[in-house]
Amino acid sequence: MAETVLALDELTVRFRLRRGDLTAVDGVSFSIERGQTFGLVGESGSGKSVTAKAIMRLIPDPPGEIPHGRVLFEGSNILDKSDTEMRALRGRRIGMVFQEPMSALNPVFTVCDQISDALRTNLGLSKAEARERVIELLSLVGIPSPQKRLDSYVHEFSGGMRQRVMLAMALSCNPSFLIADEPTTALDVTIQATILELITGMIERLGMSLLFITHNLGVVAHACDRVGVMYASHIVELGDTREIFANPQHPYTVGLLNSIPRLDGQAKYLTPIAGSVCNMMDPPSGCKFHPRCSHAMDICRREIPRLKEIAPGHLAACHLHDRGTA
Amino acid sequence: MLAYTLRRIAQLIPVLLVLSVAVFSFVEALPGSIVDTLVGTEGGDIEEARAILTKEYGLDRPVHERYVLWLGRALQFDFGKSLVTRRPISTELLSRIPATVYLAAVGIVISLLIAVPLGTFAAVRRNSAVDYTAQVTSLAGISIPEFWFAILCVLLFSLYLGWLPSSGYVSPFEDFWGSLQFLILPAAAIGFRQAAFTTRLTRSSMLDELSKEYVDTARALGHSERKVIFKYTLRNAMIPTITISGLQLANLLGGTVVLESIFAWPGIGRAIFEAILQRDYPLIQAGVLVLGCIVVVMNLLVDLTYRLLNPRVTFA
Amino acid sequence: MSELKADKLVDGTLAWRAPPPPLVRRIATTISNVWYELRKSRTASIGAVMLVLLFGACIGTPWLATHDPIKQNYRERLQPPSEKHLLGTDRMGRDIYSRLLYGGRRLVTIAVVAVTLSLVVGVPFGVLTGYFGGLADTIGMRIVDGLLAFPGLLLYLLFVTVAQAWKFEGVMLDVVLVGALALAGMPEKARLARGSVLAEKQKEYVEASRAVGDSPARIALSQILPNILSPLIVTATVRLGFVILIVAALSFLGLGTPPPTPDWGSDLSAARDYMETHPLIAAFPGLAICYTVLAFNLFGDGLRDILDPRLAER
Repeated sequence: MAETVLALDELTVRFRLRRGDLTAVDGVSFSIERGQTFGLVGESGSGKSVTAKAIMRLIPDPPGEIPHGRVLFEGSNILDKSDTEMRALRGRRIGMVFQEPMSALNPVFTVCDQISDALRTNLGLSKAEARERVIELLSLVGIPSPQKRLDSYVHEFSGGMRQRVMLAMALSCNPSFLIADEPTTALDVTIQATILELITGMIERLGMSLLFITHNLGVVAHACDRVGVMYASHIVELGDTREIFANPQHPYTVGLLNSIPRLDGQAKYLTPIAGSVCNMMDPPSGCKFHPRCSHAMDICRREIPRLKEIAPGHLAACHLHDRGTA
Repeated sequence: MLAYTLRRIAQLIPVLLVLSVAVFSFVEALPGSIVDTLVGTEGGDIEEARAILTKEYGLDRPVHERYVLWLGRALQFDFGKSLVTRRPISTELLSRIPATVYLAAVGIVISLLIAVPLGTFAAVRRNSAVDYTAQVTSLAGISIPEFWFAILCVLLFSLYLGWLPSSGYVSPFEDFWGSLQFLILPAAAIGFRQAAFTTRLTRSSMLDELSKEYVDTARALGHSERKVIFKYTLRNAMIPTITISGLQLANLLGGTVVLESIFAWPGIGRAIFEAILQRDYPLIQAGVLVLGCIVVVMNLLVDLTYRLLNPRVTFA
Repeated sequence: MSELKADKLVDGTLAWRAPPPPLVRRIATTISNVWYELRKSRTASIGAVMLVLLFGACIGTPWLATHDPIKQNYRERLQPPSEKHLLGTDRMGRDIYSRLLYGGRRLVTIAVVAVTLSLVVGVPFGVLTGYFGGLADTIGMRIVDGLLAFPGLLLYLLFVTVAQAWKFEGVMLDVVLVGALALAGMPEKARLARGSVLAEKQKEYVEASRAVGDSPARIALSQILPNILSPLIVTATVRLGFVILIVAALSFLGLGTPPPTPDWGSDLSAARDYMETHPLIAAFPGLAICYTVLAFNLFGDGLRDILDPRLAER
């Protein structure tokens, strides 16, 4: 079996707000192997972005805290690291691409300033070397005539170009692991596919591993080797992409799959999932999905189902499997 | 940039016209004729003087012609003579401007030196003791009348402790160190009060900026927390702070009447105040007009600086 | 700038909301909501309590005062606080406590009238120029800019000078002062109103009223006004504190109501000569000004937090 790059072990993130505690990530475990692309799927508010930020240790404290769980990156627990050790990881070992490049890039520094500052801090390049490298990076991510765009500000780029800049920035210090938090969501549909291909292409070319966060199952099917489906701060299903698409085990995953349009010619009505995401300040008891689940049973209201292996490498958290009915 | 600047300058013209009409009508609104006031000071043959002055001030002509006449002279910086000192008003005003600029500029520098570190620290350590102290102090600072604060400073530092002179002025060009000792109290009084506003602003814009995603981006690139805050975030948060400080400076250049009179500071504000007490109407008129112009031009400079600092704003 | 920002942040569904209920009911609900919401902000509740005490003192002055504020008593000059004179006496032997009450009553009245007047003039001015746009807007905004070109106290100084030259006295002087304060406060409200109108103008319910055939002026004042109410209330509250500082500064300079009228600013100025020997005389009027301005500022600050949900978590 390949080497594990990142492993989450029962990661829990809680926010202490004035109105009460909110558990945004609850006992999430999964692992990503070298060279692998892992997709984390869920609706907004399901805790997937918080998971990403927790891996980068970007959860503001207060109000956020991580009461238990481990984040093992290349074998050592990120949560135990000192701030200095953590800084050495960020940028150089783990890169991150954010959802909205307009707000994720600093508006008052030129693109070159922002990227070269990272290069000089992390890799100790000189000013001129850093500038050269920025040009190289910008052409790598497909920005035409990078010499000319070097000293532009973020607002002078189009949406797709901004996300390319963001990617160049994340890749600037040669990280071995990339986190992409909904990198295509804020973009025009026509550009989404281009950026998606760019990211997966880069990953393959540079031999990196990727944690891809999205609410779009269709994107996952294209880009990812393995998938974790999140609902209300829990992982409800985890497995190989192919396996999950062919044989979804959790009613929520089934619902998600039924609500995306298919392009393979099978005429079929789209079925949205009934109801809406539960209030995370006051989550339902037992299985968080039971109020929206057509298979809900008594036990679903009482007990939180645990992830169980259904097939090799395929896990689901659903009480239906306790009785072997699914 | 150039086109924008030119257009903004063109826009100033109507504003300055409104200002000049307001200032002109001020003297028109005074009871009696200005000649009556003037005649008393000239001496000699009253009837002859009256006739000469009436002609000189164009009082035999209709109001709109007088306005044009007055404006034409004002544009050449000719405001006539002061009724009290008999010296040309333009000389009188020019000699007062340096003291005001000196006081206002040092006051704003003091304010920024207090407000930026305090506001930043309060935002970064939000809800800490420092934050609460900063918030309470600045709210108190906004609520304290500046003249009372100045009096309390005089009471403490001059009368009780005897560290500093209670009022007076020495030009920094004559005796730099000597001038500082007179400068400290009024400049600190201005600085603390303006800092109350600027601290609040810096804190809230820093909080605004800290919640933005680019802060996390900078952290995710491995920058130290100090660099993330003092380089990447502060640069953004400083834009409103600098803007407001520029506007404060503009306002101080024309508005330090109260402090200048408490500290016997020979600035332009005090000149106007004295002119009011002595009913030196031409001087009041000219002083207000000049200060108004300074403020308008300063506001334009602040706006242009804001645009230079903030690359997002286009010059369209 | 800030109102535009706030507008962008408002969720996109706002435009689809039903047209707002009539003005009176809107205000009534706003007030009742404000009372309910006040408890959410500690700042606002402290400010509200301070304001209630302040207005209580202003209204109850004739009953609360122990002495005639103007009557001099040379046998009791410069006395320390005692049972007879709660806060002592000034250089003319007048009771400081009673003078503070009467002076405050006058000061708060001037401030409230001036700010109300500036609202009455500024808001329709801004709403109408913003709504009609074009030439009206250009001229209107240039007038506003011209007024804003008077820095600090200068505009008031001009007014006061004219009033003095005409030998105005008593109430007339106050009327001129109120007029100047209202005029100087007008641009702020006009701009705020205009900015909100420009933003609101685009929204659906204004289109709807126009389609129904309401006249433009009616739409401008009856539909848009309720929507800009909350920023106006906040601005007006903060402005009240500011106006009190200005009036106090003017009378401190000796340009306000002449003695012996009780006045915090001129009492403070008069007390300067006795500052070294009797610092308390200067302390009381100063503290009174601080209290009043702080009350308005706290209340305004708290209101802003409550009315602007964007800042609520702050």
